[in-house]
Order: sequence, then structure tokens, then C-alpha cells
Amino acid sequence: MNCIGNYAHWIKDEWIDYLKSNTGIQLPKEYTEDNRNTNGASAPFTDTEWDPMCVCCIKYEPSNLPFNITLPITHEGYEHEYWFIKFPCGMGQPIHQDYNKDSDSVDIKRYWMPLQDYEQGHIFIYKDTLITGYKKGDLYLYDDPDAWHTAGNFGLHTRLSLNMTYWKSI
Amino acid sequence: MKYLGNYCDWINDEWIDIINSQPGKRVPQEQDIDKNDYIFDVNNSFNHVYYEQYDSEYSDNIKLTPSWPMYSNFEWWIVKQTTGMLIPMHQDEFESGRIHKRYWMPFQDYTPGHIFLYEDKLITDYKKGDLFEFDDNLAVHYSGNASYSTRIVLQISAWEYV
Repeated sequence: MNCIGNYAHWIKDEWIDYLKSNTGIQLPKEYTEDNRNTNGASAPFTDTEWDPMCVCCIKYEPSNLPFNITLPITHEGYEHEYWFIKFPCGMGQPIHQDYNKDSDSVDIKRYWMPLQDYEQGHIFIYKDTLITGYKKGDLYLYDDPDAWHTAGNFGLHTRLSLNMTYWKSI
Repeated sequence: MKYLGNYCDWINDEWIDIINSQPGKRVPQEQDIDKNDYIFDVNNSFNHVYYEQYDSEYSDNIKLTPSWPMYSNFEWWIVKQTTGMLIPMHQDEFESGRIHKRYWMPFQDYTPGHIFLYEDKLITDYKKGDLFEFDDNLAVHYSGNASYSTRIVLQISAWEYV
């Protein structure tokens, strides 16, 4: 994970207010083919000890949001998707690799941006490394789009982040 | 976290079989603490289980006599976290008039997703039976299981009176 810049100025307080005070899609309980990303997170809940009816995080897709967002970066010739994730205190995802539903996707670029400064208890673990010390709006690029990672909230306040994925279709 | 050595041979596989096959005391639900002291729960219910605990009161089949030098007074408890269980970040509490040492020993080799965080450090690459001592008894720590297999860890608090 490499921090490639800070985009705190791009984050609007109204987005944070909305995410904190409204619910989104409860995952994995409300997973459907419609709300599954083309190149997004998809943990293997089936045939494991995880309960597919549990709620490990709350996801917000563009179609759920009452505002429009223009992403802070562009990659010409790439398709993209984004989603926000909320972890109320006590929620955590199973460790997973992100999902490439479209087998024709190549040159996948995955980005992660916290919407708050780092707080103890807010975890993002990427390849056995805990990401700490970040600032609101720091933009991280996965150095491996297939890296195993997990996230959760063992802390005292809600955790919010943005995920963006770009890819080329062949 | 100070590494003290490996005591894998000291671990009795029967203990692990018991822990894997029998439910422990669900914490915080079955722990004698005030609900106001809960740090978090999911969806404002009290159904969220941080971990299952096995201690000397739980079973006559698990008797622990540490084989490493330690204060003579101690209590132990084994933490089992099935997938999805999280213990919120916290500091341990200690009774006054005592000098304490806190120990931590995994009963399995490290598995990605078996989370133990000590301050801001993720503890990884340990082996079953590795014994660690907290170098700061008041360190903030927390644990969870984001993997696909059950996580089992021994905790010991040892003390002498001053």
C-alpha cells in the first residue's frame, strides 16, 4: 500500500454526515448479484464458518447516495466503480481478496481512502501489515490488486472509508 | 511484547479438543459485569459475543501449571474466538497492592486473519506455544478473528503482593 497523495479538500462534510446517519447495504446479509461490484470486495462467506446472514460492514453504492460524486482521480480508457464502507463499532470483515467478476478485466488498480484521521481500533490490515498514522483523505494504491486484506472497527467511533477500482476491459 | 520462549510441548492437545468441541462462557453476556461497562455491541443489542472464555472455574479437565518461571499467584483464562468475534480495544485493570505480569500464548501457529493488536502493532508470525509478556501492563490491546478458522489463545495474569 502506497500513499500517493492527500485529497482531504475533496471530501465534503455532507457525505460524512449522510453516511453516519443513514444505513446502506448490510453485507453479507443483503448481498445480491445486483449490488455486487464488478471488481470489488467479495469475501467467501459460503462454505466457511462465517454466517452469511451476519452483518460485517455497511456498503454505500453511488445509486444509494443522494449526492453525485466526481472522483478525485481519473484513468483515461479505464472503467471504474466506487463505494463507501461504514464499520460501526464491533463490525469486521473476513480476510479476503477482491473479486474480479469480469474475467476480461486487466490492469486493475485498487484505491483506498479513509474519510477520517487514523484512530486506534480502526483497522485496515493489508498483507499482514496494519495501516496506521493516516490522515483523512490520504489516497492509497494497492501494490497488488489481489492482496489479502481485512478491515474492522475495534474502536469507539464509526469508521468510514472509500474504495475505488479502475480497470481495462479487453 | 517481549518474547520469552516456546512452550509448545507444554500444551496438552486435549485442552484444544475440549475448547474446540465445547462452548465456553460467552463474554460479555455471561460475565458478571455491568452492561454500562460494555465498550460496544452490534446494533445496540447484547447479542454480540466478544469471545468464549475457558478458565479454572469452567472445567476440571483443563488444569494449567505453567512450566516457566513466574510469580506464584496467577489466574489464567483461555480465549476462543470463532469467526467474526472481536474484542474491543481496552486496557487491563489490576488490583492495587500487587506487582503484575501479563502473559499471552497462542495455541496455534499464526494464521492471517487471527488478529492481536498491541498498541498499534499487529502480532504476526508466531508459533503455537510462543510465550510473550506485555512490556507495558497498561498497553491498549484488542483481538479478533477475521479468518476462516477458530482462534485460541491463553492469557495469564501473575502477581506478587507488595
